[in-house]
Amino acid sequence: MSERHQRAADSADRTGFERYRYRLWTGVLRAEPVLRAIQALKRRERLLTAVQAGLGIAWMAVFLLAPLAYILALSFWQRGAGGVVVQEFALANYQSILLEDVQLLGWQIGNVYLLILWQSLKFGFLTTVTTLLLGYVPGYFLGRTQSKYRSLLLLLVVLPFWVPLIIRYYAWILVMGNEGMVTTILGWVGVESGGFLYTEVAVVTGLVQVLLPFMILPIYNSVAKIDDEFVESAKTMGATPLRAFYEVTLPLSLPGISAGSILVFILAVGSFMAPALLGGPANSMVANLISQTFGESFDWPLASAMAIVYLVVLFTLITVFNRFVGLEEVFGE
Amino acid sequence: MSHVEVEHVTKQFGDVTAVDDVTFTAEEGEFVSLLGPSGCGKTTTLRMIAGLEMPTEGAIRIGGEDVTDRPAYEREIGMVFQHYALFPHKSVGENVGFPLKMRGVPAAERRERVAEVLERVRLPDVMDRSPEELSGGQQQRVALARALVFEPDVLLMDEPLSALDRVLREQMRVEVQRIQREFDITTIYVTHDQAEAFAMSDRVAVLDEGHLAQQGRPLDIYESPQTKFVANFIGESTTLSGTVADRDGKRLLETDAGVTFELPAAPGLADDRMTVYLRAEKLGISPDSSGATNEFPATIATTNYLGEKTQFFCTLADGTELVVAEQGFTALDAYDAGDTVYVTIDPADLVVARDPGQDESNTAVDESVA
Amino acid sequence: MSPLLPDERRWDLIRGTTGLLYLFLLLPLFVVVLVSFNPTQYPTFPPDGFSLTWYEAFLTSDRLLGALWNSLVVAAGSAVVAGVVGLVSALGFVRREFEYKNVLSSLLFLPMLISPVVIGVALTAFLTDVGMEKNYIFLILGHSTLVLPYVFVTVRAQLFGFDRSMEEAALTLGANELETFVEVTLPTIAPGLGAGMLLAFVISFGEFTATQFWVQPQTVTAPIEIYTMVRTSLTPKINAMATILMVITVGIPLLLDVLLGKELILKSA
Repeated sequence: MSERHQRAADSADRTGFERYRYRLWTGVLRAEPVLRAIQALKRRERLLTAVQAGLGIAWMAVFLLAPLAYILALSFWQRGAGGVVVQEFALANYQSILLEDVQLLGWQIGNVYLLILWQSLKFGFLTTVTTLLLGYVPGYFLGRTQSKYRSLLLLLVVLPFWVPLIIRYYAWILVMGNEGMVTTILGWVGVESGGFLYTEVAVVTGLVQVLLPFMILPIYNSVAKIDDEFVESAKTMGATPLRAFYEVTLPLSLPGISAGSILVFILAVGSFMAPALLGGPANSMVANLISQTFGESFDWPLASAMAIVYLVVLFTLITVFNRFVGLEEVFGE
Repeated sequence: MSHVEVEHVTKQFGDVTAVDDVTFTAEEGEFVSLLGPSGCGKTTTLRMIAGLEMPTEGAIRIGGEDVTDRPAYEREIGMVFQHYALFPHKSVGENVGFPLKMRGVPAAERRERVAEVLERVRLPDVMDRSPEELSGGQQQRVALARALVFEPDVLLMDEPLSALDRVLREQMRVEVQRIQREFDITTIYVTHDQAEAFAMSDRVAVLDEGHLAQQGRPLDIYESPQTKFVANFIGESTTLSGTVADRDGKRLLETDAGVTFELPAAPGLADDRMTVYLRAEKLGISPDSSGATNEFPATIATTNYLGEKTQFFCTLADGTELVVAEQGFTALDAYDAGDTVYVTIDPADLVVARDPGQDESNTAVDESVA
Repeated sequence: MSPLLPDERRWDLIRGTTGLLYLFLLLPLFVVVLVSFNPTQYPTFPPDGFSLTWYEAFLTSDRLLGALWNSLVVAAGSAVVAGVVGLVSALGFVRREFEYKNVLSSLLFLPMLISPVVIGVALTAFLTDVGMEKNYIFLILGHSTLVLPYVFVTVRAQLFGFDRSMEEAALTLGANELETFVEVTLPTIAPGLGAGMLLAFVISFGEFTATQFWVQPQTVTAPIEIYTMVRTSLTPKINAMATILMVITVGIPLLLDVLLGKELILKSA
């Protein structure tokens, strides 16, 4: 500390609160060990890097990678009597979910697993296509509108993120249930129905509504980046508005479309709550099956094997996607 | 002993040498500019004086004290940044009061001193505003006030006017100078703008690719550049090199371009390699030969009418390019591309220096590290 | 978008479609709020009247209030933990260079991609087998992992736009590195950090899928209670509870935003 610092500090005539605060200040932020630590870290740039970036990496290593590695190990072990895990290496779990017919709680797990995995991918695909078709228009609107309410409208797209997911799915029970809004309104116009719950339509509708913001926002982002001049210049070169859209706007919004699609697909395939709340027994998805095997029949090794197969399929698909579009679009800087 | 002494300072970023053995000084109360193109190491030099970069080699002394190893916050320097670096979450008063707060000055006294310094930079009544509400010129004054309020030993400024538009920039030039004089503070000012450096500074240090090319008063730098780089960077000029010869009691320079100049009584012996720098605005142009000394023919390639002056881009017989600038020129119609014209220069206006051609050993510098 | 329509009509069509989709997005949530004031036993539409019966039922249920308290504790804890970890690692990832940076940063996004069921199952198996009890800390560790990507991405975005000359200015003005961080860096990135932590709070507060494996009777959270009620007896208490949860996660942040006059949320959108 220079002399001038010191002089100012000593001569200062302070009120009580201020004196207290100043003491706290210099006591903590200028304490000798603190200063020494700062200087030491400054000299060892790499150590500081390791401490900073390393914290997040270490967190994920301990609370995500280690548990995943653990269930990988579990998946090769066996369920013994009374749910006890027997640490005995065998491929039995994979055999049973991929190859054999296994009875579990009255289900044929073998065929069922692949069937349900297939169903999950199908729901994921249906949801992605529907959100894309529905989400492009509002994404385009938000990206192009000159309205002074644009940020408010954007906020309304973001707000549902803040509502607990369970409430967003539950709301559909009120809307589509047998005494719900849709049934009642249909009843007024003379159409009788027992509601739409516990069907494939209900599951996909719920997924679409919940995941729609994940499609709208990236599309909005890429449409908003398109310079008006591109569209105008296409028109001056003789393109009709539709043609200009097809030739200019659509290709330039492709990054948003692919980002939104990947995200929606991944989130839809892994959904637990949509089938659990809105679907019937026939509409289960892979998350439900894993949950049931783990939580209800306490077969941890089998559930682990199911989770591993799901992860392998998911990351294979992500890698293939990545070939074509690049996930940087989604998580890039 | 000078107030600020930069001695043999070198800064390397990995394999790149951004500043190479630079030495210069600033006297108490003096205004010194570091002038040079982007990438010349001027900003890195300033940042080393500030303590934001540590020199690889060399020493920096302020007021006789060696501060080379001191961090920025123990150096008592005020710095104005290119984009002002005002804290957006603090009011103008809190911004200006920040260095006082860091020095433990109590709030009441802080407010007084902040008000006083804002008065002195002619920006009263903005204490409680957010800096973001102020215009560029006003933000500039706040940044200056913040750098001056704690009466630092040195004021450092890094291209502070470059973010302003041209008219405001010229007004602020005068204003910064006034404030500097009033506070009587040693100032080191980084700029790439020659006019700015010349207008404001007592002395200018020209940097070229990490080296100090020349330090001196603006007049000396302009009238007697010591390197080809300085001659070219400060205004437009054409460089011709040749061999000195004594003929008929006259000292002549026979240039490689085929033009012969009569030299004034200047250093250099017969057979020495010498270089002349022909300042564009010191050259005269005429359609006819007048037979004067130091007159030579050239061919017009292009004419640029710029209003206050007109530039003629000419070529000599061997293809060497030459720029002539005429002030307030109106007889444009008399000159067409392809015309042969006669160019003259007063022997007194010839800038002659030893030919630097052979001993140039500059390293390339990457501006991104600066 | 028919080429036959004039420009303004086409735009009207786009605007109309957008309006309908907003309805699709938001209407179901309004239905929940509306039905929560319905006096009858079965959630019906349209409501048969106005009553606060179900709010009373919710507010007198120790079980549901306990679950709400658990959710608040876990969400607050997770927001703080994820806030600290996210801030520190974002600083490292934005301001420093190191090998495999891209791969390593995608590691921090991984929890967004993997189904929460898998994370729930894996963490349960791992932590119980290393001998950990299913208490608050268990929940906070799990939730912090799930919400870390959101804090990381918002703080990182804020740091990219940070003008580092402000920190240098503070250093030249007499603040040491720590003082600079406290006085300049932190307040400047506070909006991003705040938004990230708020998002962490609301996501943790509403998390069900992974949480179902992590709770024991004393630590049951609000979403778990809702799920149980939905699966067992569609009682109208759900509507009242859901409405209160929405007030907590949407209403209060927005109200604070406007009242504090910063309008960070409204502006950041």
